[in-house]
Amino acid sequence: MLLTASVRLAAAATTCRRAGRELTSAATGRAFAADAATKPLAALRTAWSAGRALTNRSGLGFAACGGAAGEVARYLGVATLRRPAATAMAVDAFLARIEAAIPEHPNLATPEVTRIVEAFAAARPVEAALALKAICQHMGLTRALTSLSPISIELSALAGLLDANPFNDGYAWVTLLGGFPTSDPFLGIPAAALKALNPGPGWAAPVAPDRILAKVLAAAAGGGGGGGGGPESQAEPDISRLVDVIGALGNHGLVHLRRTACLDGTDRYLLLLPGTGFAKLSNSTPQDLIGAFDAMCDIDTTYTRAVRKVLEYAQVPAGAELMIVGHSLGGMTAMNLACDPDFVGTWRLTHVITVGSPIDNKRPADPYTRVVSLVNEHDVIPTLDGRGPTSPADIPDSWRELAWNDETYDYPLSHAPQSYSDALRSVTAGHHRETVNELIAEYAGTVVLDQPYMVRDR
Amino acid sequence: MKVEDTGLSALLAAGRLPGVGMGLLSQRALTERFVGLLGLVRSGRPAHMHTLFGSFLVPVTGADARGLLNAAVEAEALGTADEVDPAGRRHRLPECAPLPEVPREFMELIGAAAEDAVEELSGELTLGWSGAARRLARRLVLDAGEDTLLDRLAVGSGTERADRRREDRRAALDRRIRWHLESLKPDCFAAMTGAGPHSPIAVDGLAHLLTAMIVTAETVGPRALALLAADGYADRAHVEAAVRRAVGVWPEVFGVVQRVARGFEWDGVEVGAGVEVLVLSSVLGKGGCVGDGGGVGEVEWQLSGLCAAPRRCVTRELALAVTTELLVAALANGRPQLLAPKLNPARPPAQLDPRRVRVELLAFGAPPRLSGLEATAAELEQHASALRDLAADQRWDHADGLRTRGVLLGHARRCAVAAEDVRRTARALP
Repeated sequence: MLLTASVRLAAAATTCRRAGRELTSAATGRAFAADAATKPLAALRTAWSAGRALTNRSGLGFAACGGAAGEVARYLGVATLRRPAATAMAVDAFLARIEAAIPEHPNLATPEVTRIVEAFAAARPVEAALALKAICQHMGLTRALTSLSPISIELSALAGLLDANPFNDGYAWVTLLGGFPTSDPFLGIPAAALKALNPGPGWAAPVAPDRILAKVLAAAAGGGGGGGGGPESQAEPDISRLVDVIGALGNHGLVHLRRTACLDGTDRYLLLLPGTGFAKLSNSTPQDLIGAFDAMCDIDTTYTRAVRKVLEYAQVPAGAELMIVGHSLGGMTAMNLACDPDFVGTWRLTHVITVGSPIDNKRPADPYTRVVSLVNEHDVIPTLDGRGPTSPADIPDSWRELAWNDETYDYPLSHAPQSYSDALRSVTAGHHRETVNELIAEYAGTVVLDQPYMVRDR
Repeated sequence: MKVEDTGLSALLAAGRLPGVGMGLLSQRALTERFVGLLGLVRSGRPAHMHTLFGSFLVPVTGADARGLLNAAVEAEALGTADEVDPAGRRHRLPECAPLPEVPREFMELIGAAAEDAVEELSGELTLGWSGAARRLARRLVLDAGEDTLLDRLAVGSGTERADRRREDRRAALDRRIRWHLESLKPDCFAAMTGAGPHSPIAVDGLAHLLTAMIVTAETVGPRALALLAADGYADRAHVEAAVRRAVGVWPEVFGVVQRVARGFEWDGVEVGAGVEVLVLSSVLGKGGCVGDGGGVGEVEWQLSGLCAAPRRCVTRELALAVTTELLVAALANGRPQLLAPKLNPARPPAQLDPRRVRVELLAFGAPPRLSGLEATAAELEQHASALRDLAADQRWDHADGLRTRGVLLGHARRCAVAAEDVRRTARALP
């Protein structure tokens, strides 16, 4: 019922927004300017009527938008906290979703969380900050983040809609209605600006693995833990071991390419892509926070360009079959590559397997690419695409979203690749491991090449 | 440089300025006026012009353009052809790829496949038009089901502006077609003509056919829909006429530069080897209609931009036939109503962007659809009603539910008030 209410309110909000744009255009557009020159009285009546409709508190509220004049009016309205009816409906839609999450996540029914939600919904940032501080003092930061993770995306959307910044509203609407974001979720930095902050043609070069990585690679290649793996090892692909490799690659600019002579006589390739390093906002590798925001809003990033360089450097032949496994930003990059018709036209991307990645608003260009999304519901990061546990937006039927509720780790540990591989080996998500291994069985064979690469922005 | 040379240079240079290209000052409208003036200055004869963008022989009437090119074809004098955009930039036209003889059973397949393709179309036709056109093209050429990557590669390979990227996409398209040819289903053009994965000619032909079908349906289709909706007719004869008219009135490319490889003579004019003939689409004029006046000129076919073939191209004809059948199938159960843009079929605009055409299918006997603010007001009323209905549900009869019920009723009232305000503004519009 609550989700139905959320959906209907979202639909009504969409129509109210469109009404605002159409009324603004009726009063400020070219047709109006032409009419004002020839029929000034009629134009005045139109402007008066549209103005009343756009400011009626009992109706559309302060609803001017669209076009130069409309956007200026909207910015002024947001800055002075005059809200359109559409925003009020969106806020109530999000609150319905938050309430709908409680039965599955009873920890959300505590007075502390209720205080946080009420403060966000009432646009009281000081109260919200104090409430967050209180819950952190009570539970610790990581436990607090874990507790709030099922509704984190709704809280971010409420903050975006109800603050005085008109530029971060777009992400909130994507969260409500689905679609592709055109700005970052917090400040509303447009995608073009993010791209300007993340320049570089991408660069790649092969490197020798360090001792730890070599050991993990050997285990993943089927040679056991003692380094007996490497080339010529027989391997049945195991998703938990592949995630181990991603963990061993770290977040400082390494990716991994494997070539396997498969049992059916075909050579197939596997790419492993780690996620973001959080130490700095921007570094010389594609695996930084700026790169992550860029990857949210665009499919062409330094990471995707660097990965292309890896495949070109390794002379992976056009038409070869390829699978990509990516964690966090690595999963987003895998999907961004899957969305690029030039990439999938060059290499046959058979599988994309993402681990803790926000990818639900992306769609692969090749309808035969099999997408598998592994999600720990306590991990906040996969919800950054705007689709949380109570979001009505859905993923294509052909995708496999394999989710589990693992309370072993608080965030951010719940996001780490090691926690995902541990869960895949445990009772919690072991059945998902079997499912994925069956899906990628065609990649079984003899590993003939295991090569890490260093990637850089330039 | 003569005045008219300066004029043409300025026209092409204007195409490189941002902002020129919309509305009254659209490039095609300007070009039409320029060509009209040029015709007066040159007494209707082709003009040798020397511009900043090259030297050309420019026919200034449709009849001359057709006659000149026909004579060149007869004399086997033509070399390569480039498309010219409004900024004077040249882009190589794709080479034509020959097709085998079209089997009769394939022509019979088109109608049935078109009916399947439009099954999901209803209401606003133009919203789902591109999807239906691509589904049909995939079905007819390779019976390729839901392989949307095929058409993304095909449309890219036919119209890409960066030649290198076009080659990469074309190679990708060829690979994809070969992949389908390895496990071909029987009821499609490829199977009916015995195409195989190791036949380069077959793959080229299939790629050309797929691209032509999609591009033609996506450009000519909406324009023909707009003409049909403005005229108010939708039977087969009118559909066929609308398609021919859309091709003639709105050629897809701004112009074509055709190189002359060998000298020839036409109507007293000596055209030497190395001359470049510039045919501006505006030369055809607003009354242009493919099929009028005793046959189709080769120039109309080249101005489709699909390939450089100077003669009638079987692929392009098939593409038009498919577009026609798609329109006939889409309009079988209703009549088209034009929502946007406003169009006077007797005075069509110089250019009509197919992406801006909006046409609704009305069931026979149904009243015209509301548009603009009236439609938005009606939608707001529907939301008000839906929210009230949801609020009335007895499952809200508990403490928290009563609060949610109150919220829903509050928003229902806002939608109802907003609907009244919007309708009032709609009535106040001049």
